[in-house]
Amino acid sequence: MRIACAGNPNAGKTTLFNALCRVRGRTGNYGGVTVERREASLALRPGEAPDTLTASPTLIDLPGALSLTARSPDEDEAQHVLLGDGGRACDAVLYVLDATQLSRGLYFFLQLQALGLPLMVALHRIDAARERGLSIDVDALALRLGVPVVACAAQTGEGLDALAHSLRAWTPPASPLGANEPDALASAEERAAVRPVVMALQRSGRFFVPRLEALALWLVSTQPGLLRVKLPPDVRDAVRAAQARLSPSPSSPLLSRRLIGARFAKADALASAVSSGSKPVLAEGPWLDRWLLHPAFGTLALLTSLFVVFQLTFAGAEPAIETIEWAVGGLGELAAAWLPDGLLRSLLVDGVLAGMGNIAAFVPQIAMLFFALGLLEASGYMARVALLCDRAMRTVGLSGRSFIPLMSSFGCAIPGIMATRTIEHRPSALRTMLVAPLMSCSARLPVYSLVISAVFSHVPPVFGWLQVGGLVIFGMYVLGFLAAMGTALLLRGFGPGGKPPPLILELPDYARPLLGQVAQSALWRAWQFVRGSSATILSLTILLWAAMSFPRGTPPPADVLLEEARARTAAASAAVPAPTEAEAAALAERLPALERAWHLEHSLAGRMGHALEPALLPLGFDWRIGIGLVASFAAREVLVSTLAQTYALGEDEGMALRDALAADRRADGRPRFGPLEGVSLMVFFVLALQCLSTVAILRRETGSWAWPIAALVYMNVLAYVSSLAVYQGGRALGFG
Amino acid sequence: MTQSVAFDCENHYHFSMSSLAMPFPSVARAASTTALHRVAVGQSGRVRRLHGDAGLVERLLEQGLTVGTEVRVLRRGLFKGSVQLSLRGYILSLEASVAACIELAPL
Repeated sequence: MRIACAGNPNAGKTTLFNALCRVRGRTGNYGGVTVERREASLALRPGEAPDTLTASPTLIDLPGALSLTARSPDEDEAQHVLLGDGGRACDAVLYVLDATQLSRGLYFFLQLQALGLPLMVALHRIDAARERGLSIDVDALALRLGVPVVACAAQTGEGLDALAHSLRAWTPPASPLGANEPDALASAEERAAVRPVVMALQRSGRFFVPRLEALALWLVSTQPGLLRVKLPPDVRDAVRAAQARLSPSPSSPLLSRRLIGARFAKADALASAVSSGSKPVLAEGPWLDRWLLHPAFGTLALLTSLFVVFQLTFAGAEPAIETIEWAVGGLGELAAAWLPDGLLRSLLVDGVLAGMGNIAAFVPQIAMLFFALGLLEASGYMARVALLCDRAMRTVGLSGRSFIPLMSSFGCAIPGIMATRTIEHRPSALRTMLVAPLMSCSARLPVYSLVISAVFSHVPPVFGWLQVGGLVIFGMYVLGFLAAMGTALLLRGFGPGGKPPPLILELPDYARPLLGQVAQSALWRAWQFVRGSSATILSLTILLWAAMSFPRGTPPPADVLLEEARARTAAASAAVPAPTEAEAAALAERLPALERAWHLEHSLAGRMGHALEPALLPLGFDWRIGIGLVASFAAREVLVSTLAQTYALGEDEGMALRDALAADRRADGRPRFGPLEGVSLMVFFVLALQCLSTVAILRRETGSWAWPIAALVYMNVLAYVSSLAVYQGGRALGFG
Repeated sequence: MTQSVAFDCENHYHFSMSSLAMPFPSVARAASTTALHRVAVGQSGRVRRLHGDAGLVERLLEQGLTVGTEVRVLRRGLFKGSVQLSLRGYILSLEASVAACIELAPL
């Protein structure tokens, strides 16, 4: 049997689900966007004997929703599953009802019951209700609702055994119980108007809902924009006809509002009949809010928690990343020892292994970030963060929930983009995803440090103590941030979706997070990333490897290569004297590197570098950097190793590369790579989207190629234009 | 409260409440209402009427802000940009522009 867990946001569905199940994830795919749906079988309670005769029921964790009406991608998912759209997704529903908010939770319950779905109620957070002095008569509630009710609390484990037992023993009634709502709520005229819709629904057989009349009434009363299920054409026409027939007049208010009002009235009556000691309004909020929502202390607390989150994410993940890189390097060496030098080895080591290393290196960061965010979410603080940041984010057309994803993008855009799922307003989420890659991520740092060490290491400090290099790097972070905000502002004006809707946000009670659960779901997120993006990342890495390895020509004889290299090193001096014996020996040692450099220059990527040169020269870049730009699509830091390769240096010669860059001269003796070229290159790296992992994750999170392509185009055009402005402007002003 | 008053909200009402009428009008004017964003911290009232765009009103109703619901103002955000309310056993934060669409009557 398949049981869907439904309920209001913050009712504790996921906590309860995790406590009841052995979690293993599964993904549902609806409407082009991959929405996560977690399914798991009910786990045995301690001391419970396994039942070999019947299979354990499967639980489906649905995102929290106020009602069937869907206002975020998460709620779409609930709508699809509960209405059995296009196939029966669940046999019964476990409704998670927050005991501290009875009347509010009962509203959605009544809506589901009206559809005739078989229901069981988990009266959750019963401990919190007791703490508030609220006593609820569980039996009376079960009697009045006409469904089984089990009181429980996942935080303390109270009542979980009983709930698991009831779920296992549950045989949902074949015919729907409870009042037939349309009888009570709809007028004769309304019932007549929805009759054709019922007929059309019957004909289509599309929805697995016992009471089609209630479904028809809901379809007719829902605004077309909020209906996410796809209706068959004849049903849609019938719904439109019924809506036209029932269009509201001043004397008869909207059907939907009457239904909401009537259900809440019923919920209020139920709640007051079964509970005592309740006060509908709290005297005051949690005492922590006094500090955490305070303009000064709250901001301080926010910055502190951000600092801790990012330390945890990016410093905490560092050992794991190093281990992974070490293991990948070890595997590469192993492959090198076993396989002969050649294409196969190169494919395995530089293509497949490098690609898998790329994927694996993200996993610790993603897991750590989601662990930290999970702690914030489970403790109830996340909603306060959204509240504190909403105003500032709204001025640039983003939402309060955009703040954390944007800040995480300073570490890496991949987990940042994944974190945009918490944003309710889809256009704001899309805008956040589009601008997140502009935040200066940690993969750009190796490029900054190379440039700074090559061109700024000799510049004296400003005021005698401020290192120019540090200032320039800081400037790059500011540039990335400003570009992101500016772009968001532009997107607000011209992009999709308009302004984010005004913030309507629940502030849940503070709670102690259950660490095991948070860790489990963080690992699940990391696994989602591996499943969802590894194919794209791996194939793009191999494609890039192929571009850098083919076509394979035959390099010229050794003496020609050596002569060219010698001439290039000595180009700065006018005369080229014959090499001394020692110099010749040193050159000969570099022969394999020179051959690799030749191969790279004549590969597809090398030719692209040369072909790009006319376009790159106005930015101050030569063909070597062109190759580097092509290669850095694997990951930005690859620029460094690729440049080293084009200068025929070994792969680990960062220092040597710095010297080679600093020593490289143009024909007229000016440095080929001076401060202006360096700044231009850094500006390009800040603004350009050169990270295929980001492209892959954008594709996955937006569900189409249109958004990643849009991001590629706008960011790279922005990068090109900005670098051009920097370089040409700098030249005109007489720098470099 | 009759239903026709309760669901008046598709008409866009514009109220010119005197800003002097805080936290609530005097006893003599007990029948009048105050827009929620003007209600003082610590004061309670009952939802009398919602107005504004249809989607917003429906959302607020589904949050439980139906006519007759008791609401208490717990706190105001920075620059009075938001209002935090308690209703039906939970805490809800509304932007001031949304709170302005909700009219409270004194208890």
